[in-house]
Amino acid sequence: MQTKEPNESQGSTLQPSDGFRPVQGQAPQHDGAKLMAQAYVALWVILLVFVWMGHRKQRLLSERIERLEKVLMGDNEPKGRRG
Amino acid sequence: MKLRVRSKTDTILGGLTLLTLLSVCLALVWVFFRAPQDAVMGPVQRIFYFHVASAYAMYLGAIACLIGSVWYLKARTLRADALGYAGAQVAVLFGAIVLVTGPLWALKAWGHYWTWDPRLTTSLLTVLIYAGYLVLRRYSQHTEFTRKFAASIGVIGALNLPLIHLSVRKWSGQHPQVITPGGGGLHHPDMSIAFALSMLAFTLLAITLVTARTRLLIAQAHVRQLELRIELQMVELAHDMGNKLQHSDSPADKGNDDANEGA
Repeated sequence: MQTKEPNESQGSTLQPSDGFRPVQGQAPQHDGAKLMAQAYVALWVILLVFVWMGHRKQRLLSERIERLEKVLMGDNEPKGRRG
Repeated sequence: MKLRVRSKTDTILGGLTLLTLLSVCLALVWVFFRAPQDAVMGPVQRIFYFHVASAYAMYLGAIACLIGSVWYLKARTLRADALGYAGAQVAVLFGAIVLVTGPLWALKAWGHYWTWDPRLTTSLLTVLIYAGYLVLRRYSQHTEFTRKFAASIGVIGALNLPLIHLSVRKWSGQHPQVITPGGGGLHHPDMSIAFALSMLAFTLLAITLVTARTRLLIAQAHVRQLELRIELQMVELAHDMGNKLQHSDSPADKGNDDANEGA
């Protein structure tokens, strides 16, 4: 599609067949609702990842404590049993 | 034998978690269903409620890190070190939320995600300092030197906090000042309630997370100490057994061995 310069005699009347021109000196419009949704999703994702990491560390710690319990239980067993 | 005992801290943490969940739900209801939409900014203004609350929660984390760091430099206790470490983790968590939600608002308000505005720059610097703290703790050995070095970073990081607050007044910049001593820029009571509830929710969230992480870090440190003690005992046991074996290889035994070999 070819773009033509607006004719002076036509003034500022809209001529759709003339083509499209970007808005000059103005920031592009962004959908506020979409940005808000993105911000809230990001917030909850970051928070949940942090909580999940804490939960994972807690589980690993529980496993380490279980291993320690086993070692200590082994030490407390009566010597006769171990032969 | 069971090492795990349900303590008073568990009950407190449980109560705190429940309170936090309740306040977060209440804040969400108020922000999305009660507070009116801003006439100029539209729906994107609702980011403000949790963006500012997150910045405040970042401050709380940083203050916990400062208290833990100063306490550690004075008393050298495990609890102090754990508090400092947990505070830094929470500061980075909420700092990341601030740095993600802020630019999304800025895209609508300013037309671009980021500008080197004094408040934005000092906030980024603070988050980077605490991120450095976490990298140091994560990738270095659990030595006294590491803990002392991290504690000094915790103190330096806290020195940056007043700078974030004062940066707008001192060097102006684009960042808006909605919350001011003169009453602020929230022109509807439901907007003020939504903001107050968000602040409460994030304060409780920060306190809960710092408490939970401190507890976890203390437990990790105790388990690490126990494992080291058990390892040491095993080494001593192996050493004793080695000595006993050496004693069993006494000259009398050797003589018997020689006699056997000769036969």
